[in-house]
Amino acid sequence: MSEKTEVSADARKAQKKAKLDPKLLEILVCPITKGALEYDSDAQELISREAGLAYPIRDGIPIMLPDEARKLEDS
Amino acid sequence: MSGTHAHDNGPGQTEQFGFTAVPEGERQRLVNQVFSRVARRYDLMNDLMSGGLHRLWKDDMIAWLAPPRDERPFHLFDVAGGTGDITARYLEAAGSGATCTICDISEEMLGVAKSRFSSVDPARLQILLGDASALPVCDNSADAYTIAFGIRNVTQIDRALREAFRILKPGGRFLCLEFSHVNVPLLDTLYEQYSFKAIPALGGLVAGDRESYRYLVESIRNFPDQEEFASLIREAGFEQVRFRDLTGGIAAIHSGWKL
Repeated sequence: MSEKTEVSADARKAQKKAKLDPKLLEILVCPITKGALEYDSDAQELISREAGLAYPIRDGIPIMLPDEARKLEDS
Repeated sequence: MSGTHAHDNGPGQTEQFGFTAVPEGERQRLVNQVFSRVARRYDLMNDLMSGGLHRLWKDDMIAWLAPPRDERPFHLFDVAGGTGDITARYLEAAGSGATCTICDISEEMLGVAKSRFSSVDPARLQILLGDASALPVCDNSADAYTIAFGIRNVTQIDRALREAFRILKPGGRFLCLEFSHVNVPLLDTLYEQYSFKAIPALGGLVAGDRESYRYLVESIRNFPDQEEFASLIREAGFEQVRFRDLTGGIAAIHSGWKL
């Protein structure tokens, strides 16, 4: 089990290094507000302040569904 | 309007999931479940449903799109493009200026695309997960929008069409390939028999999932016919809307322009 945890931690580190393509960032907006997103490359999240949501990026793929997003606490 | 397809439904109404009415909101989850289950077998399923013809139909779709063959920049937004069949043909047919975004609502389907295009330059092809009726991209950002065998699985077709219109640049092209309504005598009866009896049975045998395949057949019957779908496309704002029947109307390609 502990071995497995190490592997996934490494995988997560590798993902953090993988930056989203700038061209993709240029066209991406929040699906609800159609407003701009902030890219948090460490947390691998795309943040919509207006909607109060942080959309996850999993395996390099932005998951742009409100149901999958994390609610921001300070909004 | 036959009212059999899912659009203009107010809150608290039910949606068609195949021939079973289910609460609105529940439908998308059920549809997603079907695609998670069949993701790896999706090409096989399309082969079963179309007798292998879907490959030719997809070629037809790209031929009608006719992307530039030179270095001119051209961006395609391929919705429900999880298996990558349209994108692969597009990248093959188009010139060096061609770029593409694949958008699909199913993570499993996108996993198929990701491994299929692992050697393609990420500046040329991007992959994102999103809902066709609430696209996460800005207005006027694509030269073309394609959706192949995807729109009948969208809960709110009218919203998806308006989103297509929004993200296209003025002068941009909408193309949709979908199973449609057979309009050739005899072929229609044969196809009816084949799809309702043979396909769920084959789906059960080949993929061990009879229910998912039954849903897929029923969703084809619930989808508006060629003329009706053309008027939905016009209602979303598109002009010069036309369609071509493929193989007697087993499928059809609809085209429209944002002018």
